[in-house]
Amino acid sequence: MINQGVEPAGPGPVSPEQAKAQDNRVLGFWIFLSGECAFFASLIGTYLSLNTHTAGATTLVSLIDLPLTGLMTLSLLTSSLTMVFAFLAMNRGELQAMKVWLWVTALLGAVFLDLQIFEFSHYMASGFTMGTSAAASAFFALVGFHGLHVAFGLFWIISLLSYSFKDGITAANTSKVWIAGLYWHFVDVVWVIIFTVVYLLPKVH
Amino acid sequence: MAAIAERVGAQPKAHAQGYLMSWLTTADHKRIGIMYLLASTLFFVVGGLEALMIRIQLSHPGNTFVSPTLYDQLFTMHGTTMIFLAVMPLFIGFINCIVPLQIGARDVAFPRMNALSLWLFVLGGILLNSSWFLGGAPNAGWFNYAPISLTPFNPGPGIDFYDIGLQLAGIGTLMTGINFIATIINMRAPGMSLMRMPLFTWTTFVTSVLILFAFPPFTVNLFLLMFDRLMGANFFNIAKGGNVLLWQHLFWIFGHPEVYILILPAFGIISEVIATFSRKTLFGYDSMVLATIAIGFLAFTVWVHHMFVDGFGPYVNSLFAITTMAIAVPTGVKIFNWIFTMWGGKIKFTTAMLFATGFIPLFVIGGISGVMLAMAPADFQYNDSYFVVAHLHYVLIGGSLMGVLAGAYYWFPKITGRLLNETLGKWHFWLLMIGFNVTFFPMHFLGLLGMPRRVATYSAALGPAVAFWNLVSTIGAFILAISFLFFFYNLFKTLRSGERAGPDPWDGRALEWAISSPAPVYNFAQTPLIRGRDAWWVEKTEGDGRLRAAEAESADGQHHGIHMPSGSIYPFLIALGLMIAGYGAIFGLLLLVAIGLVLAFFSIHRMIVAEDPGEIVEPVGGDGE
Amino acid sequence: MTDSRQPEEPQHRRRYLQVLWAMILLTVIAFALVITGALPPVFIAAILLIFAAIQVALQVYLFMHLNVGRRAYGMFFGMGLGVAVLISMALFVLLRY
Repeated sequence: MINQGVEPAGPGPVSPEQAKAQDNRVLGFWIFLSGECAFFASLIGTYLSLNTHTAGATTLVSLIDLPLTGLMTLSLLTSSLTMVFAFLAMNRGELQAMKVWLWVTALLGAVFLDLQIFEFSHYMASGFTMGTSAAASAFFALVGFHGLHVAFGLFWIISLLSYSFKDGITAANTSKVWIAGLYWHFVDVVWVIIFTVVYLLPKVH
Repeated sequence: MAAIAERVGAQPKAHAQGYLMSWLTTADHKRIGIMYLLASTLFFVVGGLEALMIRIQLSHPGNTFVSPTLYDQLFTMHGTTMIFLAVMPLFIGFINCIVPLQIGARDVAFPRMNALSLWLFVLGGILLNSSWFLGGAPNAGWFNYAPISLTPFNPGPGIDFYDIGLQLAGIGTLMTGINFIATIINMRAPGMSLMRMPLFTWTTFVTSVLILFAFPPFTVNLFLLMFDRLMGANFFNIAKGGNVLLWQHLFWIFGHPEVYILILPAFGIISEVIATFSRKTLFGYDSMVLATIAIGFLAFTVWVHHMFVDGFGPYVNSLFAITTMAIAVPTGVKIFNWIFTMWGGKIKFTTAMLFATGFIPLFVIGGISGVMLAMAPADFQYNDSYFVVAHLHYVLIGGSLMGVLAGAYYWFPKITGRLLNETLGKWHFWLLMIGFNVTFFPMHFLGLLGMPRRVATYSAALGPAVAFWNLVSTIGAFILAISFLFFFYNLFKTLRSGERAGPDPWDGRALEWAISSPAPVYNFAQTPLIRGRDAWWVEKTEGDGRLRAAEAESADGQHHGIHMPSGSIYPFLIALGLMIAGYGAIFGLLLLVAIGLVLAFFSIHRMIVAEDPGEIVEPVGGDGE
Repeated sequence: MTDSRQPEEPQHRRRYLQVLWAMILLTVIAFALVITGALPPVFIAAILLIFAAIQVALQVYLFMHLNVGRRAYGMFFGMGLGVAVLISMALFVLLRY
């Protein structure tokens, strides 16, 4: 079964307190992600209710460059896989391999962000800004908040890489990588919905 | 505070840190709970004074005690303060102090995140209230409808204070919700199955789920408003295609679960108090749990009943009227269960029990006016009148606040080690009952007589009845205020020289009464084994009156040190950084925003990477000593 | 948490790669359908939504391992998705129509 060997558990003895703390962390993070569903749903609902309210100004659909969006999607999807590879390496106890995969993940995330900044600046230069129309506001709020999530994920992964493995892979830091991974995959899930609803569906006509 | 700290905080070892630092860095759920209770009591006093000024202004027609401008700020801040900064955090204070004890846990699942919740609430509340001195308080009502909250109609910084203050406090509340869901799922002692949990723990659990799903839409809404006001976005700006109803929807998708967040913990407290002082187990425990879950579920399906007059048409309005009326069913189940718990019990009318029994008729009145409001066609008549004001005060004071006060008299000995004075308590109760009904019952009449809410004054032409009932209501408000003077004097007197409470002053049923008052820092010297519902009562009646330990003691028969989470200053610094950034955003000072965010992110970074070394605490004596 | 230090099966990594290829394939088909407009719009829209749902399920089950975690994880995430559908659809329906 594909899911074997992917629950976090590091080497070394685990005290009951540590085991409890790790368990709490993963549970708490799933609960947080459930709340995030409501957060993004509110933004998506806002977008769905306003995306035709263009006030006669520049529309998003006239600016969308699908190959660019495709490239962004590719980088984020691939980074989800490299995150899994980082985790598999950690479970094998291979510190270096794990670090390399985490760096690759961060790099792909950075590529995504870079493309998004390019996309946004291109839109703004074309007269499509937060103030253009209600539809534009809703677009920047939804896609921008997703971008902020990616940025926070980068900050998180790099924080982990710089500070959390001074003593190698231990029982205490495996669940930290696991929840960072959960977060990263969730951000990817949100992107799947965004590129379908925001980028692809309006182009179908 | 020193008096409480001496008993509750009782840091096990001498730390190099000062007294103030020990409170700023604490991760102990009991100390965090006490700070929640203290801060929200202060905000409660502020909100109460605002209410008194409103009532003075309305005491007779055409009064000019306050200007209309100030009046708008008063009613807005009264509502906002009471809901976000007083009643909800009062419940969170009790939840912090009591729930880990009721499930036999050493602490919550995330002790330092708990501290972060507290500091976000305190600093967010301070930021919101500082608006009085920094350009005017928010003035668009506690639900802050667009477009009145937009810059063209509201250029001052007041709305920004509302926006950012509630954003901070709201994120704190969201984290509390996550924390207590995880705590209740994961930290229960062996044997404490879900259907053995005390009702207060159950209502805390459902409340936390409501927080988890209700606060994110509110967070989004506040962001949208912030973008409109500070960055020129157009979510609510009709000229550029915005939609003001979007604010109303997102607000009430949050707002209706919010009012259940304000009542469910009260249901839990009332259940505990009534069972204890009737000396009976709670009648219909299973149906109580089911009713709590049902109310939690229905909470997300009724929000449009706040928007009946928006013109969604008969189908939408009927749908939401039906779901709203459905909520009366589980609520009625609860009312009957409380009555049947008392039926045939050996009732002892302590002050806590008085508040619990007083809760029932007052909340029923509020519930009935609620069903009246749920009838969409009739709501066109009641909407925005004093009838709504009467309804919401019957559920929020007659319901929530009575629950808070029942909890206060019931758990004060567990939190501080001293019993509140019963004589003063009874004065408090009776004056409150009289003052409350004299204040708010006439508002039903005022609403039906056509008096609109949120208007700074009214004309004598509305007739002598309106003027008369307004005067009565104002007199009632002062009786209500006097009743709280008894309460605060009682708190003061008890902390100085109150009667000391033993571990179990009420002959209680749940686990918190099995340990000393106040609870030691580690709560339970040994994790207890739970052998039934009403866990402590079972041990008292069927066992030997002592808790069983879940694990055998170590071979040498000695207690070993207990591993407790260590404190941290970073939660406070994160909240402080975000507060500084908030002030920067309000006044357009980008440098201040940057400084605040750097401080916050540096501290978050330290929290992410830091290991929690924990500290070892030596238990003193056994349980119950 | 289960002990996961059992010997790693070499095909794990290949399986994950296959999942990634599947997701990329779905994405490419979706983009291609939109760019070329090869089908009537209604069909394309339906296919896009189905593909998105499949991708979300793949991510949640195979990358986030919802199915091997505790029941509480799935319960809460399921509730989250339910609330998400409720909120986004309510705003869409009540404000657009």
